[in-house]
Amino acid sequence: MKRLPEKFLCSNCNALPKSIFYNFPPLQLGEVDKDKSCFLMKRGEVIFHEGNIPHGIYCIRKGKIKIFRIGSEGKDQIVKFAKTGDIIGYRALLSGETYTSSAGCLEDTELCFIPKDTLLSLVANHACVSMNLIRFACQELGTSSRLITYMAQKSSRERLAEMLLILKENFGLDSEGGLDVKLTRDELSSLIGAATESVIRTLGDFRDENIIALNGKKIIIKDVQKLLKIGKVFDL
Amino acid sequence: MTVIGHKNMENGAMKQIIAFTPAALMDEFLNSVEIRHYKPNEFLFNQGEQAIGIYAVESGNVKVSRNTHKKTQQIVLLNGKNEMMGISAIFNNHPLLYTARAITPTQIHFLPMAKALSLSKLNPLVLVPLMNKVNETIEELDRHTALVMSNDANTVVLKTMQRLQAKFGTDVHGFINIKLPVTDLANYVCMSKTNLYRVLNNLQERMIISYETNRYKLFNFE
Repeated sequence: MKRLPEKFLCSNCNALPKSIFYNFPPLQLGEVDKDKSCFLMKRGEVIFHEGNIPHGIYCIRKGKIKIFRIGSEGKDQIVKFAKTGDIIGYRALLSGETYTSSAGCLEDTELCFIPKDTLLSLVANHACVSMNLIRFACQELGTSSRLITYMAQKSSRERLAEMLLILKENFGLDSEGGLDVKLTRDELSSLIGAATESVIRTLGDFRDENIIALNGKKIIIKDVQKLLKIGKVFDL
Repeated sequence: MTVIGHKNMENGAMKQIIAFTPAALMDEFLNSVEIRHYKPNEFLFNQGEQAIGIYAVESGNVKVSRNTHKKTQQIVLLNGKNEMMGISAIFNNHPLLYTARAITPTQIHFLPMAKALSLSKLNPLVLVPLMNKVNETIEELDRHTALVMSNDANTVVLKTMQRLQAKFGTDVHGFINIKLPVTDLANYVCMSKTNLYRVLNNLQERMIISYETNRYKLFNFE
């Protein structure tokens, strides 16, 4: 983790429209600027570990993050992703508990750390921050409940098809039509609760059926309609 | 459903909201909360309906489900005392994401949406306990999803029972304090009823659990 010598100003941040500080008066944005610190983290670095005590929240200025926990067999299990404009670590902070999961960078990521006292003071004094925060939490709730509803009853082939579509929806596509997130096959398998071998085999099947193309770790989506059909997806 | 007005709720699920209610508005707040009684299988609300308020469970059990791609219902949460429902739809201003249905006779403290929103504007701190409730639900959903997606059937059933016991406690006979038909348990752990019976019988033969109609007992919690 490298602390950046200069702070990014919230008012100039491209992530502001997606963050909890959207619609926040400029004067109060200055309060956040005053107290926060900015960091650059490399791909693979861990931002916080399950069981640690939170001292603040992290706002993602630019980058992609996986939220994971240690599964029953000691293997990392990804529970969700966070991207530019999202905040992480707020749940443990507000409930006064330790982190229930870890957060790691999927690519080089710029983060702003907002200390606990600053956040709590904003929450107590500014309805718009509290309201944006609860809306953010409610969106996460929707994502979590959707996952169990649609994923748990599906076969690993169906889950993988749906997960590719979810990744496309969350992170978009790069200029070559590849998913704009770098995930190892292990990470992909932990996302859908399948064995790595099974994921590799199914990706090969999708490639043979001309639904996707594979270029190293990169997955290029070629036929969204077929993925929708295989994944039995009706909404994303 | 029967509705009875009531003011004595200082020890109930709403107490955390009461703590953030300005003293001058306390009577108005208490008068706005309805005590609702639901019979087993009665719906509290349905997925897709407009949100009308926050439901806090005072007693009894509620199953919370979502429509699946197979046009069936998937139970995603089993709720008991002090748990809240309906928060998300109110603050995100979208239709309800779930259907909630009473499993046993259930008493609910119901806070109308307008009151919840006006309170949160008067004192933004009231949103903290509500956010914590949402966060607890997310945590429970994530853990349950991870469990059912990545483990063998025996582990899923056993760990689910451990979690239900930790959440609802046990009665005087040592049974988990939630009456849950096998059909609902099978749905909750994403298994067929036949498969669940096979697992339950296997665990019972190994003296790890026992079960009878709608009741389950863990012999060794660890």
